[in-house]
Formats: sequence, structure tokens, C-alpha cells
Amino acid sequence: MIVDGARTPFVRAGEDLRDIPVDELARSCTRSLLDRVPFDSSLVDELILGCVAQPPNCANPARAVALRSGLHERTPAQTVSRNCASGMQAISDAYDRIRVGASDVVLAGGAESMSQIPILFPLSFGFKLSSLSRARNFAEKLAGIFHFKLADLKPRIGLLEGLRDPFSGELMGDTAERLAREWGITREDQDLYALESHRKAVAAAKTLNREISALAVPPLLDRVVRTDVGPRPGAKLEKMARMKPYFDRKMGSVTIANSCGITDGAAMLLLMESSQAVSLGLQPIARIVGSAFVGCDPLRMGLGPVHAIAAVLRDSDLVLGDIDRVELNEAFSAQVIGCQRALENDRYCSDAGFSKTPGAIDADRLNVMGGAIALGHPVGATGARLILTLARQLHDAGGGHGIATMCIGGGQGGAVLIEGISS
Amino acid sequence: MSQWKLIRSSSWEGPIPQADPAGRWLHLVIDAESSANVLSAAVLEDLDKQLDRVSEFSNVDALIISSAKNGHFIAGADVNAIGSADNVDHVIEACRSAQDLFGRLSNLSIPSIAVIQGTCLGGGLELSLGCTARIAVQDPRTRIGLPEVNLGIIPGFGGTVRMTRLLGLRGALGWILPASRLPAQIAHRKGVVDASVPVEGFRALSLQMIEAMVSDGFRKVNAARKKRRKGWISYFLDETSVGRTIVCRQALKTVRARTLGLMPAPERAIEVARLSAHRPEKEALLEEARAVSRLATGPVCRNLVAIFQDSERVRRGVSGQPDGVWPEPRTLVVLGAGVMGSGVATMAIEKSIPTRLRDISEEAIDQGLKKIGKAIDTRRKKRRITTYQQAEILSRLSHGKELVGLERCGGVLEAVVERLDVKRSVLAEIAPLLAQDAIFATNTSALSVTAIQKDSPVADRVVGLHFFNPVPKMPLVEVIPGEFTAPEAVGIALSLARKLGKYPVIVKDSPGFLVNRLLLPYLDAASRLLLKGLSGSHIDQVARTYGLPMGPFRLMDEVGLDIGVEVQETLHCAFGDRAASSPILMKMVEKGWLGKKSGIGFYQHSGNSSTWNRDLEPMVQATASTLPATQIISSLLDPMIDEAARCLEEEVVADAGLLDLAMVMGTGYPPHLGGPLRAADAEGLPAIEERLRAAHENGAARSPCKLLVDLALINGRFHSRT
Repeated sequence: MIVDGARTPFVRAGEDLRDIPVDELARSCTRSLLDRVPFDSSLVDELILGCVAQPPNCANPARAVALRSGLHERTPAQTVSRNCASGMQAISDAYDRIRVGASDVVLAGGAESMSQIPILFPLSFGFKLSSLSRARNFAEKLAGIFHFKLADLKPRIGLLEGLRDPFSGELMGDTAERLAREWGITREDQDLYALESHRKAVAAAKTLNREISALAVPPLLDRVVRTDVGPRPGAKLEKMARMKPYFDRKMGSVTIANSCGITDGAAMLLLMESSQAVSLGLQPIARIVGSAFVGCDPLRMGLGPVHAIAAVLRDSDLVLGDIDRVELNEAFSAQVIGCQRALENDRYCSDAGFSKTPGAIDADRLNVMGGAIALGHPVGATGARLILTLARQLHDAGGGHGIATMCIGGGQGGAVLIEGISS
Repeated sequence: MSQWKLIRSSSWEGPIPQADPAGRWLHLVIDAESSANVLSAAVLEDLDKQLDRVSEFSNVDALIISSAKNGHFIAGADVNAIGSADNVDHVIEACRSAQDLFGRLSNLSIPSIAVIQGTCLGGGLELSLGCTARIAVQDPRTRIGLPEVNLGIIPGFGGTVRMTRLLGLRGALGWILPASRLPAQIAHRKGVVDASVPVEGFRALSLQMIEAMVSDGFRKVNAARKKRRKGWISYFLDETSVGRTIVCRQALKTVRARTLGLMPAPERAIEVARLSAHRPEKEALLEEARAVSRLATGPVCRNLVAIFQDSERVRRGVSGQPDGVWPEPRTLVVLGAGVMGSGVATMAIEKSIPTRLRDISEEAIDQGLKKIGKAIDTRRKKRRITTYQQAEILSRLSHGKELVGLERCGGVLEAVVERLDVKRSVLAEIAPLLAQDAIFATNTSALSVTAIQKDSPVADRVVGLHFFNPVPKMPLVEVIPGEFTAPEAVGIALSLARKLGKYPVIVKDSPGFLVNRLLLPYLDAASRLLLKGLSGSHIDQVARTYGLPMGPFRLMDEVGLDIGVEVQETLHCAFGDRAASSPILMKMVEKGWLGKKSGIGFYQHSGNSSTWNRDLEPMVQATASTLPATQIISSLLDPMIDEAARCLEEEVVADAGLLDLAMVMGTGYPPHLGGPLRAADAEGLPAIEERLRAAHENGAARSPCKLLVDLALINGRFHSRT
């Protein structure tokens, strides 16, 4: 059972939240969540946090979140990573832990500070530094100093390194370009989709705000961030069309405007075994029915959701047509449209494991409140945010089924099937 | 039974070492009757006897002094004895014998070493200073210091002299004048103790260290002490007459700036320390004893000790008060993010209470959070907390407009606007959501708690908790049980106030409660003096010189004139003409002159500076006149004393001691005067009663109350002397 959830505002990296470490992002919404749900927080059996770029000075940020949120020191906490789906992984793990009876109450979610991903020096710099520290006399020291080259100081941007596929060396955007070429997705298709994402997010701002717990920026608490900084009310197609492709400057069609934003944020959910929720007198908003993760071609990682949707539906007696809402993470316009086209393609669908080609998801059921193109994609947090947004939508609609799904760098797809519970 | 145990032992495992007739260590363990090992006359006498026995043991290597009580080494001399000292010769004699006793510790046949775990204050440190060497345990409870000047005396059991001889003049004054209580590592860094050891397994570690000290004949210890005082600057300032003069002058200047010359103890400490730096020890010790004898028998010391005793009484719980425990680790929900709300929230998160700050307005929350963030960051800048602790403190705070977190909270503190209807509607909104056993504390300064709680389904859990502004600085909290308040709720409120580091005083639910009711006649008297043509800034100056932290007009500007008028209206309705509002205040409020917050009041405020508001002159319409300072003070304070007597009559507060304490802790009334009632006692009640009667005959609405008249008649006192 998903009892409730809360998230921080999602803010473009380098802006208001840039000085906040990842554990503080998650701490802030966890405290608000615990305030909101009337139960004794010492009942929490564990905390699971999804996070991709775990900070070097905080090896297991989940533990810091647990202690700083006022959970009992006996409550264990672990950090999990499945690249872009880390937050989804945390919730899937929590679901499994509850299902096998290992835990009754789990706090799970994800957090990412993309602003705080470090800049790296080449390892050769470190090696030379350590041999210098072993130098015994002046001559050796002098020789050690002269060993350094300017190239040893060439920084590598950690953020970019993280967005690179480790097998092919391609950036994630390059894989989106490949989908655009293969499925014949034009620049205009992509820009239109992106524009729509902004329009929907702006229109749904009020509903989205209900998920958000305001965040005061420590240590001075002099700024309070209450809303997402991402959706642009004034987004214009002409302006988008003027942008240069970012990944393939000459022939490409993927631009910054039709890709997800680089963002800071966190989202946390409270999950409980259903009898526990009943005995505490709580009103859950949704129930998790199943989850699935499936691998696919790393160079076409954007199509991961197709495989994951097939897998998660296979274990239920539902077909895609029965699903009332789908939250499909918008890593790139090209990738979302690619998924839609693949869902219409008989051959791709049978390869992915569908018994019958489901066809594209209706526009009025897909990402109705916008997606990562407008809101941004703090990688570790997004999976949890999708499930939270989906659960609240279904709860407000008085029930129905929904799937939260996303593509995962390295060639995977993840999906979680949930059922809304009316109040 | 002996309060000291002398045990020969070869090991040291528990608080009381295992006896071993062939052991090489001699343990002298204090286990006094008092819980904090207070050095009473009996304890000192017993120590003397035990030291006589030391020579009976042969083949022992060192005498190790420690405490059998976990968390307390020796808390100091007997405060009650200090407060009741009245004979100069007796004090000199007591000091001399303690000085000699502690001096014996370093003249035994074997070296003596104090192992300090827990509080080691005043006499406890003076005893340790008599030892050959000292080791402090890095227990968070270890606090080492000489707080005597806070009680109006100087360290008199040899502490002033021995500290100066150990650390030099500058070092010693740095310990004695600020009266600070420092942890083990800092005491080690500053050289008061020779070593510090981690708390886990400290006994074995200390033995190792003592063995090392004994085996090299304390050569390393002495070398470290010498090194600390090396260099020509040290030589100049400590060893030359010119240097010592410079140090003492500078110290005196700093002290006078703080005390305005009203406190004699720090000044005596400087004199004695200076003497100890270059005269023979014997002479210096005699001078120290003489100085203490004069200070201890003087009024300042007596008053400071009395206030200290009352504050301890309040901190521990006045007998007969309801018991209660704040339910840790539950949340405190603060409603209203204004100055008071955010102030209390700051205190709460600092004292480990998870806190939710709630307000109906987002701007108010933003402002409140900003104040909290700044207050905590200031603590970090002053190095009171580390950045890690800062993050931990801030992580206890949550905030928002939503009314959530009430079902599991430990209590609610309401600090919304001071209007009965608003407070009642907040209570009505909260009542159905509030946890079964949580209290609802209302921070009201003048509204009746009974009126707020009446007809509420949770009336029994509503209790008044009146904090003073600025919350982090003012140690007083008035705890006000309403007519329907259950004793359990009062108990929890007292516990919460103590947890926040405050001194709670229970006050009857009557208009203005205690402190504001006593302040208003004083402020009103000031306005009336102004209308007679006296200079306002002069009145403020006179009040400052008397020892008050700020003059009446500055105080009104600080509080806000509109709030002053509001409280005065309440009191006027309740008490009639003697509490009538001053016309000038009303006029100023009408003009929008509200004090500091509006930039103009009695003073014109710009930035950090302020000047007297010249535009007030047309309002006064009186020719300029002056009065002697003593008359100004008595005109200001007499009405306050009359009102205080009325409070005692009406049992607004349990006794005169608590009333004086409340005024000291809540308004900064000079503690060396012992509070308004002790000051009145000292002046003599007949004179005060006489002046009040004369003023009444001259047209003042106030006439002295029955209690004051009765006491004046028999030349009595508010505080019966014991």
C-alpha cells in the first residue's frame, strides 16, 4: 500500500537548490511526510533511497536521511542504484520487502542533486600526488614535482560522465538521436511533444503543488522554494525550433528544449503492509500490483519502457488498454515518441513479449500532467516522483490502474503497476 | 560515616578501587552526602583527617583523588554557607583553613593527582589546583571552572592565587573573570589540567598516565607548564610591574564596561591576582581570604546568592508543584511564525526537540525561518556549534501552512496574534486533531488563560506559557494554569520550559500576570516624569546607572508602544485608575510612532544608532526641569514595589523569592540588588510607603496597598531574614 508521499520542488541544477546535499533534499520531504501521516515513526522498519551520484562524503545517504528525519537509530537504511530508475528501484524493493513479510512499514524514494556531482581530476594526478608524498629527499621531491603535466589537471565533468553509456561511449542523447533516425521522428514532432509537456505541466501546477513540501534552503533558511522551477508558461514553438541540436550538431534533431532538464530534487513515499495501514487507521492512496525491470539494447535504451510494460502486464490479467493512466518518463521527446511508435509495431511488440500489439497509448492517458521535459529529471528521484504523481492521480480519480515506466541508461526499462484507492 | 575513602590499591576498575595492601597507589575517593559532592565544612574536616593518614602508608607512589559519583567531581563550596556569612573573621578563618588544607595536597610525602570526571567547579577546582597535577576526563558532563564572581565573591580557597601562579596573570584572569565552565579538552589546552583522557576506560588510562608522570618525576608536566609561559611577551606581561599594570588596567576596563562598576567581586579578583603574581604565596593567600570575607559579608554577594538559590529551586522544581515529563522524542508544533513563535522554535530545535513551524501566511513562515536560520548560524559563527551540529539542529525543523502533525505531537505552542477571538478559534481548530495526551500551551502576555480555554473540549490541557522577548536571551517563562487546567498539563509545561533551558515560574491567571503587571507602573511612572518636563534620555541614563539593562523609554521602543497601550488597557480595566493609561502613549500610537519597529518612538532609530525624538517636545508642554537621580529612581520604582506587594497579597506568585527571581530573569532587573523586593527591604519599607502616600495626596491615583502599609508600620520586610 502506498499511504502517502511528498517531494521537494524540482529545480534546475545550479539554481536555488544547488548548495543542498542529496541527503538534505530527501530529509526535508521525509520530515514533511512524517508530519503529514499520523503514526508513530518508530514503526518504520527501514528506509530505502535511490540515488545515482552518491556523494563522496556520504557513502550511504539513505542512513543520513533516516537519522536526520528523526527515525529511530535502530531503523536500517540502504541506498540503491539502477541508474535513471533508482527511485523506482527503491519502491520496487520496498514492495518486495513488504510482500515477503520482512518489513511492514518502509519509507522509500529517491533523491538527486545533479548540481553537486563532483568535477573529477584524472587519476594520473592522484597517482603522481601519492608518489610525491612518498618522496624521501629533496631530489626525489623535485623530480616528483616535475612529473606533473598540465594534462593531469584536465577536469572531467562528472555529470557528463554519468550520462555516458559505459559500453559504447555514447551520450544518452546520442541514443535518442538514433531512435529519431530509425523511427522517422522529425524535429517538429519532438518540439511539439515538448511544448505539450510544458503546457500540461503549467495547467496542472496546482495539482502538482499538492505533492510538494516547501523547502527552506539551509543553513540560513533565507529562501523558501515552494514550486517546481521548470514548466515554462511562455514556451513557444518558434523559439524551440531555433535551438541548435545539442548532441549531433550537424544532422541531429535532439535539442535541450526537447530533452529533460538537469534538475535537483527528491521524492519519498510511505509504504505499508495493508493490514498495518488498516490497524493504524490510515487511508492509503494506492496499492502496488507489480513491478518489472527488463534489459534491452543499450544503444536504444529509450525503448526500455516498451519491454518493461510488456513484462509488468504479463503477470497481471490486464492489457495496456485497461490502464487508465501511464506516466512514461520523458527523458527525450524522441524517446517517448519512439516508444509510442514501437508499441504500434507488431514485430517490435512481439519481440518485447506482448502477445498482441497494444498500439500507442492514448494522449489523454499518457503523462497528463506533463513530464520530465517540463519538470526536469533528477535521475535518482524521478522514478519515485512518477509513482507519487500516478498514485495521487488515480486516488483523485477514485481508482483505476496505472503504470509508471521509464527508460534506463545502459539499456533497461522499468515499470510499476499500481491500482488507485478512492478515499 | 566518612565522606572520603582512603584506599590502597594496585588497580582501578570501579568508582571505588579494590583494596590491596601491597598496591602502589593510594586512592582518596570523595563520596559526600550531597548528590553533587559539595564541600561542606564536614567534608573539609574529614579531608584533613584523611590527609593525616597518608603518611601511615609506605611504599606508595601517588595519591589519586577522584569522585565515586558518576558525572560529579566536586560541585564547589556550600552556597548556603556563603549566603549566610555575616562575620568577617569567621570567613577569613574558613578560607585560611581551606587554603592550608588544599596546600597540603602538594606537600605530602607522595605526589597527588586529581582525576576529574564531571562537574569540577569553584572549590572543586581549587582543591584540584592544590594537587601536584590534574587529569580531566573527556566526559560531556565534565565542566571545569571558577564561577565565584557570579555569586559576588572571588575564589577564596586558594583558587585566585594558585591559578595565577599556574597560568600567569593573564591566564588566571581569563578563567576567573568570565566565570566560564569549560570542557576537559579546552581546560587542557589552556593549561589548567595537565592531561585529558577519553571517557571510555578513563580509569585505566589515567593510571597509565599517572605512572608516566611519577616515573619521570613530573618532568614532562613541568616542562609543558613552562613552555606555555615562554616568550618575551609572557615575561613582560606577567613578570614586570609595567606589564602587570597594563594587564590589570585592560581587565578592569572590560569588567567596568560590563558591570558599570556595580559589581565589586571582579575588581577584587584583579587586585588579588595581581598581588599573587609577584608577592609571596602566603601574603597573597591572606589577601585573598580578606577580600572574600569583605565580599561574602556584603549585600551584593548575599543578593546574588539568594537569586542563585531561588533559580536552583525553580530549575529543580519548587516543592508541591505538579510533576510531569515532556514526552520525548515527540514533536512540538509551534503555531505562529512571528518573533515569539520563531524564537521558541529556535530554542526547541537547539534543545533536541523536533519542531514544526506553522503559520497561515507563507510570508510569515519565510520571515520566521529566516530568523531561525540566522540565529543558529550566529551560534556557528561564534563557534558554539560545528557545521555538523548546525545541520543536525536544522534537520529537526519542518514547516508549512498545513495543519498537520498534531495527532502525534507532544504539545502545541500557540504564538498567534494577541486577540482572544483568534486564540479561541485556533484552539477550536486544533482541539479535535490534538493527540490525547498533548498539551496546548498558549503564549499570551495579557489575555486570560481561563477565557481562552473556557468551553474547549481540551480545556484541561490548555496552559499559559508566557515567554519573554527576545526568547533566546530571556531566561524566564511564566507558567499560567487557567481555572480548568489539569495539574498534569502544568507539569508537562514546566518540564517543556526547563527542557528549553528556561526558568519556569507558576503565576496566577490574573491580568498582566506578574512581570508585565509590575513593569507597567514603572513605565507609566517614566511617562509621567517626562510630562513633568524631565529629559527622557536622562531618565534612561539614570536607570542604566542604577543597573537596569535598558531605560524605560528604550524598553517601550523595543517592545512596541502599541503593545504597551494594549496591555495597559487590559490592566486599566482590571485595576482601575492606578493603572490608567498614560496620555502621551496614546497620542504617540495615534501618530504611528510605535517604537523600533516603525523606526520612531521615544527615539528615532536608524540602523544601529538612535537619538531622542525631538518631535516629542510639543506634546510635553511643560518647562524643562530636573530631579536628583535618587528621586528619579524612587519615582520609577516605588509604584512597582506597591504593585509587587499587591501581587503577594493576591497570591499571584507563591512567594517573594520567586517574584524577585521572575523580575531578574524576565526583565533583567539587576541581580546584585536581589530583585525589587530585596532592594525595597534594603532601603526600608517605611520610606517607600511614606513617599507613595505623599504622592497619592498630591494627586496620584495609586495609594500604598495594605500589605505595604502593614509591613511599613512594623518596619518589616518582604523577605523574612533567616
